Amino acid sequence: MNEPLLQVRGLTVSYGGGSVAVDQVDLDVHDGEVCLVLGANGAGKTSLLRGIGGFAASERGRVRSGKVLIGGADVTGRPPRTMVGHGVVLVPEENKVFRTLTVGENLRAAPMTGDRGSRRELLDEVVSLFPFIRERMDLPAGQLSGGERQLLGIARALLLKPRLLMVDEASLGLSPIAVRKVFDSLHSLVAAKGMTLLIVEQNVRAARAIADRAHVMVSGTFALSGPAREVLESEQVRRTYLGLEV
Amino acid sequence: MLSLLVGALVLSAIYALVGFAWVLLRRTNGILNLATGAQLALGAFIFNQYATSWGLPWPVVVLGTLATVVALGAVTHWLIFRKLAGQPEFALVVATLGLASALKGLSSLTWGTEARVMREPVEGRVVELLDGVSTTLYGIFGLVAALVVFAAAHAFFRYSTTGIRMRAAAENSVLASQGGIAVDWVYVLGWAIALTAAAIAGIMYAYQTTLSFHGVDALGLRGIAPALVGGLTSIKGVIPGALIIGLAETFGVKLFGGSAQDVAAWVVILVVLLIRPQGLFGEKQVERV
Amino acid sequence: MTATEQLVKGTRERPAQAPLRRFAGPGAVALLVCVLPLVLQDYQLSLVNSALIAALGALALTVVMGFVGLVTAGNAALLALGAYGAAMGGAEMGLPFPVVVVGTVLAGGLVGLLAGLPALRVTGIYLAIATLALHFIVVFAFNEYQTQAVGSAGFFLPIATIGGLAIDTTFKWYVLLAIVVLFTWWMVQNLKRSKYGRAWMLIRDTPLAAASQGISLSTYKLSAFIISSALISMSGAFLAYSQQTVYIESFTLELAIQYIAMVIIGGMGSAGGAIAGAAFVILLPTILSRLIALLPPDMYAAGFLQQNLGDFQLIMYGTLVVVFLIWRPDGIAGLARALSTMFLPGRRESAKR
Ligand SMILES: Nc1ncnc2c1ncn2[C@@H]1O[C@H](COP(=O)(O)OP(=O)(O)O)[C@@H](O)[C@H]1O
Ligand SMILES: [Mg+2]
Repeated sequence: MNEPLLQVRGLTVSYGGGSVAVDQVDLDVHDGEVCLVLGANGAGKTSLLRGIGGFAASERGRVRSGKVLIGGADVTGRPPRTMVGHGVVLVPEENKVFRTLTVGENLRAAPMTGDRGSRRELLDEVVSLFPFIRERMDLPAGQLSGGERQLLGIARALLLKPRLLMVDEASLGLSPIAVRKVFDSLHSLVAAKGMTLLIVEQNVRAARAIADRAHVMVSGTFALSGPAREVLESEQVRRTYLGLEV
Repeated sequence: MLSLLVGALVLSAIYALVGFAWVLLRRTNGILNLATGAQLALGAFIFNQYATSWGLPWPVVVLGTLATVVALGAVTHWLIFRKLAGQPEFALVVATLGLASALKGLSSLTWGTEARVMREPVEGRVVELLDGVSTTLYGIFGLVAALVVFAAAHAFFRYSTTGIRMRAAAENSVLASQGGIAVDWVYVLGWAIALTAAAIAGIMYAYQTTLSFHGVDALGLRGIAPALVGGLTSIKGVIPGALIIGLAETFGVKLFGGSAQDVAAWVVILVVLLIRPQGLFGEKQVERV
Repeated sequence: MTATEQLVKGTRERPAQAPLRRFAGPGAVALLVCVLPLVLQDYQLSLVNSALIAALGALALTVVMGFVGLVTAGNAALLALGAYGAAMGGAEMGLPFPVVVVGTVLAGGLVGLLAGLPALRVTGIYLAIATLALHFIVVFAFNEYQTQAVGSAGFFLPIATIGGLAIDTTFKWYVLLAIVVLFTWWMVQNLKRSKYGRAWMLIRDTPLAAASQGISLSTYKLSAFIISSALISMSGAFLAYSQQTVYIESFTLELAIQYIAMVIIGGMGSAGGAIAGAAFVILLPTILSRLIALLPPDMYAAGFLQQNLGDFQLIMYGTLVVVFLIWRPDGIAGLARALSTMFLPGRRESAKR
């Protein structure tokens, strides 16, 4: 197998110099792969994605040690905007959209690359993936439903032409129908565009259909890693981490 | 009476420009900039240096002032406020106070403290509007400048991609950075626009009175009043705020004499804090608990 | 003991210190206080007195800025309040000095209440705005009062007397001020360790946590601002009596910023740092002009510097505030702590605490 798109080695993330949220994590994500991270609340999943996608200078979080490589290039500890330049785009857990901007403005806020024609093309393509956007163009994004906000966040991320798209808790707080919609969209992204995904998800039922590999996170480290099918079917996961009936 | 109203309107235009500078910086950069007064004066003195001391041609004066002020904005962000990223709001406010002190010292060192008269672009200052109602050309120019700045700002923030990105970064700078927006350049732009509006206000005020650091500085600080009345982060709120302050100051001077000019705006501030601290258009920021 | 009390009290138990170390700090301070008047000339001692008065204000400001993390621009206004209170009480009404001092404390507290009450219902920065308004309104009011009462030269105050003892020499002022400053220092230190101090710092560092523990943010913030205002007003009365004149031109916004510079340079939240910061800010002009005097007198730069000393002060205070905020938010106090751990390995343990 060729070199992974994302290589994480011994990544340690801490807040305010104090508490360690991610402790020496190793992770590989290959091109075209869908990688799932599971774990209880506070396990450090969000911190892992933030450690890869970068913290802004105004935040308390820091990558304390370890390495993050994208296509072999060392990008450890770079701020989010630089990571976007390297093709790593995160749809964060909270605040996925600019609430005071309209849906259309949310999309225009994304600094797209390429010439005018290709930008137009990408925009049309993304909008056709999420048809609701066309009807809601002039609505402030704060007034969208939770599911629509999630999709708008993903749409905005797609305009940045990600090589690796990270989505944190896509289904959190959504109705079952909305969860279905979001995962159908993710599924079609993977199927049609071969998108590489790194997702954090508690809803195992929804994630099962698209995940290739899975990692179970417990207090900042991976307790279990492997092919998604094996990990998700393992009795240990079903009982301990997911609380499903065996 | 009518001439008083005209005077109030002319003053309101200047307050609107100053208030705009306060609000813009508060909103995009998240800074309550207590150095606004000093920066207003600095802008006017730079203009005066090019216009009066060096006697440059007017287009050069205007462009040179603009370029200098924009450069100062960029330096202010990269040298000071970028380094303070992540510190509590408290530290940012204190830093603006330190900046105000340093700028005052620099200005006084360079240009002294006496009042100056600036070189004028046109003659015939007084314009008769109606019988017995007159204003200066600079009063009218100030009104026009305020209208232009507000209209341009409205169009810029609503229709231009850069303006939309500035609003995005103002709402959530972390998400903006995650969305690929160059937040630092947004902040530089915020400083540049705010300082430009401040300089225009300072220059207009200096033409209507005289140019002295003390006078322009005090005006710039009082400009927090229209910003506060409008809610500190609402650009459209500045306009009614400026009208209220312009009227309060004009009629305060009429009723209580010239020294009321120094306090009218501050009294309005205390009243606003007492009855409606979030202003007319601000979101409620009262701390729960 | 509730969880709140536990959390708040938790920091109180400190490991027992070796007696030597425990008394080393206060001992050194006591020694310094006793030695200063012996080695300094009258003029130098009067500078120390100015620094002591400033230290009172800086200590007070530390409470609201350092402990609670609020910005106030009203320091010059509160100093003016105390000074004009002294002028009215001492010069116009002929009240005895101690009565005047108590009066200015009460007046300062009251004005703090009035200015802080509306502002502190809202988020912290509104206090900066309200105190800015306070500054301009107070200066305006006293200017009007002064113009009507005595004219632009200002007020002249009688010599302060306490129970028949006239405070009429630099040395006597030194003794009085040293006692007052030491007492205030002790009080501020105790305040910091009290239930109030811990609540204040919790509000400063984690307002949400403080609120979730049922700490009323606005009440605690207001109490800090009132205490601070009362003390600054009192120091204004000392300033007026020690100089024996009061005029409005000395109470500028730049003066207010100077006091902020003392707190920032000294180290936010450190009472000892505030005193060091006050000494630094007050002595800086003298040190600067001494340094300039060392330059060859025919040098153009020397003359230029000497003539514009005031402007250089403004530039230096402002720059130092910004530099310390960026580089060392813990100020001289933090710098001293860092140096002592570097050079005195034995103290490393205690500094870590
Ligand atoms: N901004 C922050 N400041 C301080 N600690 C944080 C912050 N964000 C997360 N943490 C801590 O890091 C740990 C991991 O949190 P997180 O990564 O959000 O977990 P998860 O996403 O798995 O729920 C938790 O103990 C949490 O308290
Ligand atoms: Mg999470």
